[in-house]
Amino acid sequence: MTGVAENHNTSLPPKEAGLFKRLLKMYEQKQYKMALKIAKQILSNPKLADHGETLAMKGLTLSYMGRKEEAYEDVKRGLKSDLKSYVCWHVYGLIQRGDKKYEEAMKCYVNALKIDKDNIQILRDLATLQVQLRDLEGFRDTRYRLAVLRPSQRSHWLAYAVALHLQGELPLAIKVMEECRKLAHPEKREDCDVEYGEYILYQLELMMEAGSFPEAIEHSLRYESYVFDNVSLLENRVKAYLASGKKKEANEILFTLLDRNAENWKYYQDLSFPTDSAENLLEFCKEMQKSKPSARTPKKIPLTLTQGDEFRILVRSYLTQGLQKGLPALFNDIKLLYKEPSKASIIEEEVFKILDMEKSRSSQVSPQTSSDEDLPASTLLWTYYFLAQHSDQKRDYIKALEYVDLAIEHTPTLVESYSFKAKIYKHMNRLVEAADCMDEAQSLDTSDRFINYKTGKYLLRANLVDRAETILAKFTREGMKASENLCDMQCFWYMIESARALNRLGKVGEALKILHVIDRHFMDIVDDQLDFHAYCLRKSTIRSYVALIRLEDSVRQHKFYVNAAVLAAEIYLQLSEKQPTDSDDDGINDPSMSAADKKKLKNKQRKAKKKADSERIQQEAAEKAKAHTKVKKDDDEPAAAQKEDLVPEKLAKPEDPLEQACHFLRPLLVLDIPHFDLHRVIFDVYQRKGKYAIAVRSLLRMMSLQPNHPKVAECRTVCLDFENTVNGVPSAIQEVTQEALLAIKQFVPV
Amino acid sequence: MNIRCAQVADLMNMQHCNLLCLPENYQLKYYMYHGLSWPQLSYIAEDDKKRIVGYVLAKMEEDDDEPHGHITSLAVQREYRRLGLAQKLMNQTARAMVEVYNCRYVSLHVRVSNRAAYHLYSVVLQFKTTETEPKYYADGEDAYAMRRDLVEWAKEEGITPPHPEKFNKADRKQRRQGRQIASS
Repeated sequence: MTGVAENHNTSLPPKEAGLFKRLLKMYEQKQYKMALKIAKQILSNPKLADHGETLAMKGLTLSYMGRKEEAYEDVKRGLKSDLKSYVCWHVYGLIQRGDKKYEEAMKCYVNALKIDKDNIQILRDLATLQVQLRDLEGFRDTRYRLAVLRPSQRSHWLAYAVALHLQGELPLAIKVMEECRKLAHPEKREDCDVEYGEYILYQLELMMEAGSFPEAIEHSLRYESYVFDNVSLLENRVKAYLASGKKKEANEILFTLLDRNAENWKYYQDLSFPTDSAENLLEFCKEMQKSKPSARTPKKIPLTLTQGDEFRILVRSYLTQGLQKGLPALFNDIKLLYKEPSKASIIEEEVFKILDMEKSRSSQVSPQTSSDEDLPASTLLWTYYFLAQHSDQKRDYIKALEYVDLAIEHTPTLVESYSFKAKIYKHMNRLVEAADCMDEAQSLDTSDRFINYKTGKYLLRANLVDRAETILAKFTREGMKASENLCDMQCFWYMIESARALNRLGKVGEALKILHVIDRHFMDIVDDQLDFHAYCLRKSTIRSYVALIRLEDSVRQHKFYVNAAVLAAEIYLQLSEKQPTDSDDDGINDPSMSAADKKKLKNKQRKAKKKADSERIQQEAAEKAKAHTKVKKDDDEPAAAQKEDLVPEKLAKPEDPLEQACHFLRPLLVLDIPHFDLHRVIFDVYQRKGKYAIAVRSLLRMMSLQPNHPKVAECRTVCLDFENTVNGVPSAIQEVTQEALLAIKQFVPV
Repeated sequence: MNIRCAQVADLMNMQHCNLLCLPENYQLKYYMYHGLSWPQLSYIAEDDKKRIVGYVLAKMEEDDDEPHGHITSLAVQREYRRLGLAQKLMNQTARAMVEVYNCRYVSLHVRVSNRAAYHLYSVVLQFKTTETEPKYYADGEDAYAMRRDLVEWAKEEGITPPHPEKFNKADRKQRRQGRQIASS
């Protein structure tokens, strides 16, 4: 994608024109040294020393040789001497795109297109950046121009359909896709490939999204034999049938799907049974148990459908089988049943029965060992293990420890017993003992990374950062610190646990460094899309591509980012509290000042604050507008600044801690995330910044998420105090806030 | 555990699961590359809370003489072993490879020291070792290159490939190459 749009009108004398052609060729073949030599040769002609396009190409070549500064100099010089050249503009765009200055690059492409409006290469490059920056309207228009310019190329129509889809113009997208499908339709079924099937499936998804279910059903039936991805085809057809109320037809397809995959829960959920017949899900599961004996789902679902004695019989056999098999996950597997207290007590009774039976049996014969497993599959052992988990669930930690110790006594080599014992300690908040116990588990099986990870995590929870580093290094690259390697590998669990530990230890700068690395990883993840715009069109994997585009719009709502943002905001809030006493920069506490001076200073500060407030409000409005276009790039953090080194000492003394907190929180403001702590820190940060509308909105979310949380009451008090302040701000925000304030005033905790 | 085809939105959680279980890790972009190139091939197992407890990340080797499936990574969290998840995940993937890409076989690499995985592949899933690749892993460990023939399996399971003739034909050239690889 580094191609340069070739200009056939280079205004060079014949000899140099020939050289210029060779220059382009060398560049395309990545023979940069050669290209550079030719460029210099052309420029050595005194009459051509300022030849724009040659300078541009020379600059572009230099940029690929890592000589960025010279590159920019040449490209800019070239452009200055030939503003009418689209090549110069295109090249200026390309070099900026290489530096991730997408918006600037886009402007250059637009300028290039003003000169040569039908240039396919530049239009393509423009389209890529438009979708990257979510200028979806522009993307649609560019894609349309490309399709019209090359109507026989179906990939252009495909791209146009995608652009329409992203822009929400579904009916037209479907029509374009139909034309595209016709162009791709093979003469014989034997010639059909995966790609064509993807076209059909994409069209089907468009129909589904448009709610045209009868059309979707018809489409999926008519082209069935051309689609190889049967799972997608059938799953979509089920959806379409269900949406049209055709339950019987949906069931038929679901039976087919269940025959392929009897462990897919959704298929069971989507089955429907007439209320007036004996046929029901329970009966169906029983049939499935017979036809798919190795499937676990048809055995598990009945546990949720039954009650009382019927449940007792089923759960007894489920537990017996699981304990005999020695399934470590048995408890987790049925944990959800504990939501119903009656079921929890039945489970308890049944496990105790099994325990009694096993105890008496083990006193008679030696423990059984199964032949095909490495570990002794003793039912008694796993019963102790289960009871430890069961007691832990009931928060009876003493009992839980008793049972887990019985398990350890029974088989001192089972890793799981130690790791669960560690978990009990963790629940008891005995964090050091938990870590030590986990370390013991780890020592029993040093080749298992999962146990290693848990040990690392528990050590970090106990603030034993150095020990964690040593343990975790067993599974990271040699010759590099484990912490560094884990940060490089986007190992988010580690980064968050480690930042929390460092913060607790007062190593705020180091914690912030890690949090900024997380933020940069998420910037990279957003940036990662860039290569896929063209790639997916070539591969025709459009459904996944659209899913990616949509995911990227809200990728920061992932708990990894949210947790990092919350912690970062908390740290910056602490720093902002500390700051005045640390640096005394407001001078108010200066004892050498007279009362009058202090008053003057206060007035001055008030004025400054007012000015800053109005600036903030303007900024906020701009942000809102940005949120609408869903441009995810942070303006105040240009790509170049990303490379800046993160120095803990510097990070611990930020100039404007609240603004730093906002840097982490800002991308989350446009996403509606049900996370109490997130809204708590948003409130704290934004009310301090005087952005009351945002603070109030977050309080409203806190009220709906955890109405009885003490923080809610605290924030309400702070909030009701806003009223005095709010009068000073423009009416647009005032309205939102007044309405919200009323809701806050009238709020009664449940 | 719920077993289903992996979606784009699962990729980050698959990466997380991988980092918990295995020493071979990849940047998220590599997961995206799989999900956006062969969206039908990767599968996940998740618990009641929709946490991914196991996954298979798979791709097509399209540049080889005979295009075939390849398992990039397979992991099941320690606690969720003995549930048959690895086998179920691998069979879903193998089925998709046959149905969507007409794959006649699927390949993978396994550490020579990983006996549990080797047992699963060779005994449960009928993979055959084709060669030992010295120092395949970053830490210098050798790998067994393994292959599972899907033609017979598909017949037994009643799985229809999109191009049955090509799928069923005994390709002599391919077999010869297979032998060569095995003996080298």
